[in-house]
Amino acid sequence: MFIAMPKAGFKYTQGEPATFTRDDLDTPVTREFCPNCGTHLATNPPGFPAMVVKVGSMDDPTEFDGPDVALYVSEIPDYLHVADGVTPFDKMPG
Amino acid sequence: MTNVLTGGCYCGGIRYQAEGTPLLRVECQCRECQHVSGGAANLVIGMPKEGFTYTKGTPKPFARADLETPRTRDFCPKCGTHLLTHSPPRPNMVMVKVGTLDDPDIFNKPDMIIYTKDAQSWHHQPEGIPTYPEMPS
Repeated sequence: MFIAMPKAGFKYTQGEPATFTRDDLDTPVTREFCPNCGTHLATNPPGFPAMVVKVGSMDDPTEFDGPDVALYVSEIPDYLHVADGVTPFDKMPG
Repeated sequence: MTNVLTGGCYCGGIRYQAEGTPLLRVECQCRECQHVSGGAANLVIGMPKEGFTYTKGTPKPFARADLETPRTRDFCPKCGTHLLTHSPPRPNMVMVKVGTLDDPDIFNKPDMIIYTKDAQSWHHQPEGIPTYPEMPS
């Protein structure tokens, strides 16, 4: 679950995350996580004006209020569920 | 039925093998798991500790210092993937994250959903699966 927030307004106020970027992709995203506890905080997609912030890391996750869209439903296991009213996409809409 | 489950982290630096009969299939909706998962519920499969080994790499453990009997969470220090949790109330079991399995389909579905007291509005509790406000004893 994530919420896209403007990059211009995003900053870390304490600590420095570890980053992971695949070296086998042309335009990989960078995933930022706490090197101490492993919590994933945000993903930085190149060429995209938003930071993709992990809802579970927010002080108040209820501000998320559920997703608008569900991505990559082509890959979900049978058990997982796309809620009524959420628009599914097989992959990332282009 | 004895299984040999294999899996690892996203970057491939850590690999494991879990041999034995799955003991527990759980969906956890607690606030701590929301941090680990990014906000969705966490899916874990309990495997016998004696049959579990890391076959490549060494994970980084994290345990809270402010709790008397904290869980220890193992994650890859390079890519951050959480691999499993050691739970003191269940010393003979490791709680393996379903997303790290080479074949996540083996999970099928949870036997129970726990910590519904922390559930968010977007978490789902399907009919037919027992739910518990906390961990049942």
